[in-house]
Amino acid sequence: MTATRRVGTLKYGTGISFNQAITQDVGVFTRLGWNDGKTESFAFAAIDRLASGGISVTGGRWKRPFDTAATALTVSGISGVHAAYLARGGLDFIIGDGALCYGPEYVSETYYSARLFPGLFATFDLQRIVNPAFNQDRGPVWAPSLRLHVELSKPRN
Amino acid sequence: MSKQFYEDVLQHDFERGCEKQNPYAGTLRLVGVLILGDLKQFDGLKPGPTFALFSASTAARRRLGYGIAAEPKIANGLNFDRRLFRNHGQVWEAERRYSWWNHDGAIRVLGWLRESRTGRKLRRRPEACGRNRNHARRDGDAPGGHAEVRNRNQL
Repeated sequence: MTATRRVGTLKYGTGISFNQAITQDVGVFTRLGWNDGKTESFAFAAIDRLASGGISVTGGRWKRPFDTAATALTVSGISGVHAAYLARGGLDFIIGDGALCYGPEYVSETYYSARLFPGLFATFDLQRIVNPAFNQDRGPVWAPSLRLHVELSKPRN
Repeated sequence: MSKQFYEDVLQHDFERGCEKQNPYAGTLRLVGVLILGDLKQFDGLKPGPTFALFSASTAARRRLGYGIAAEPKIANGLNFDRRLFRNHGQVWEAERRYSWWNHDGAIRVLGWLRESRTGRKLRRRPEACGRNRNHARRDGDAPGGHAEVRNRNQL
């Protein structure tokens, strides 16, 4: 693909998102994303089509109003020409396995964000990834992670 | 990069509820990034400053935003082009907030355009599935960790 590089090539995309409160403590969200899929993937993520949705609950019901529990499902895919490129052994900036048995990538993610102290938050996140990097010959994998978040100055509480 | 920068800035503002505190605020931000010369692990990285510019007009029920950022001269390269509107990324966002039966909600539409020296994928027939089913590399789980410190006065 590097042989086809031309100055001034444009890559474009669009996205739309909905956030909706259901009750004071519960909210749902959904997001859709799309890009042209034929130009070279470029930072951020090698995804051409994206749909995700989930639900978020704050911890008021269990007397931890500054905690948040959430779960979401994301389905992502790539364009036909993009899949063909990877299947022929092409390399993207973060993916490329020498071959590809294409399938949409499914990521189910759940996290719990706990306020440890005012201004200090810890989040445990667990992801289950099916067809990682759009390859049915790979995975599924678990991806746990831990995140620490510090807010300086006036904290939320 | 521009899209991610911009989304982070807007998302953070939305979560903080800035609009509720000052519903008619307009914002203009210039984000500078200084690439240091001693980052030897990136061979092609050219030291020097680069930039991103974000602007948003906010009212009680809507928000319009625009951002532009420098991009590498070659796709996925590390040599940023610092000339305005040459090898750059642009993003536009419109947001509408509403309330149904006292339940708040928001809809956002975002578009982005990126220009650089970039290649195109050529249409060819894919290989059959299963070619790398017995690939030497094995699948594995991927634990990770992340820590951040954010000064809420500065963003």
